[in-house]
Amino acid sequence: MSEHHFAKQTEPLVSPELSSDPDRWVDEHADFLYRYALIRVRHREVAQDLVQETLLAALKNREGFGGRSSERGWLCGILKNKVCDYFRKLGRETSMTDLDGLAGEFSEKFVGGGWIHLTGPKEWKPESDEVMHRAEFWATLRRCLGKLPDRVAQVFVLREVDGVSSKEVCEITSISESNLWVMLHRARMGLRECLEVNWFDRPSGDRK
Amino acid sequence: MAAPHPNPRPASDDSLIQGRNWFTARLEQWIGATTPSCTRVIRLISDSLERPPDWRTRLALRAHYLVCCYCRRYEKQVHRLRRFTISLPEHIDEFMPDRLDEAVKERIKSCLRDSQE
Repeated sequence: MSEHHFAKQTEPLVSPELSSDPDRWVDEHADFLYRYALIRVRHREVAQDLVQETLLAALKNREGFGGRSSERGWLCGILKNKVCDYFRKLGRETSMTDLDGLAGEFSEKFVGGGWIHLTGPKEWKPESDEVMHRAEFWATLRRCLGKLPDRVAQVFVLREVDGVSSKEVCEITSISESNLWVMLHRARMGLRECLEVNWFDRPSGDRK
Repeated sequence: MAAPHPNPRPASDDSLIQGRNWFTARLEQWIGATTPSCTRVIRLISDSLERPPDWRTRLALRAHYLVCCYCRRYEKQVHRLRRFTISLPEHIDEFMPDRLDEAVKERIKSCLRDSQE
């Protein structure tokens, strides 16, 4: 009796309106989710799989979406978790040779521990954050992120784009805290330099 | 042995204390010798984004910036970098042309349909 009651209650909810959801999710959100994943994992196939896993999980846990946030926000939340799971599975694979490569690139900027004045950081103009309204700027930042070694980019994006705490980043990527700090430092050095060379120190017509 | 690097100051060097006369030259030298090196300072700047530094470190950084406009700029810029990266997700539709192939979308759709059955 109670089973019957349950079925009667949920039936109109599941069909026909909601059963069309998955198709609509794909049409409305899949490209966004794909970009969102691609920033974090960089490999197309992996990003595609993550989108699929996310939507599957969303389907299974449809009741979890109580309309508290936007549908997209809810899906992004699931995707974030999937990305973290993926990083966990990758496990401990930090390639220190990647880090050494990054370090070598910067040693020529210093002499005796101090900046070589002529090649030291320049003033970034303009100082306002007007650049944040320019798609070209973001494209430049993305290319700069793309130049970081895989692993360094992963921890950097987790920490600085997703705002995951240092402790959690260490847990997700199985690296030690001191290792994480070195990686973040190298990432910041690399990105700062790359943004300066490819954006701030360029005449605006030449920025791409 | 290689000759010491000349490391001339460009006109754009706007460090507050520069060795322009005997006194400021001594002062600059003294601050330079008592604060960490630039390579160390930029690491401390990065670390301070992870955990607020103690007062000694903060003081050392402040003092260092008086004689080194490069580290001072570096600090400002990594903070800006942090502001940029936090806002990055809001802009991905504007700068990322990447799209899923229609074939992949169809595959996902059919996979979702299968899982419902």
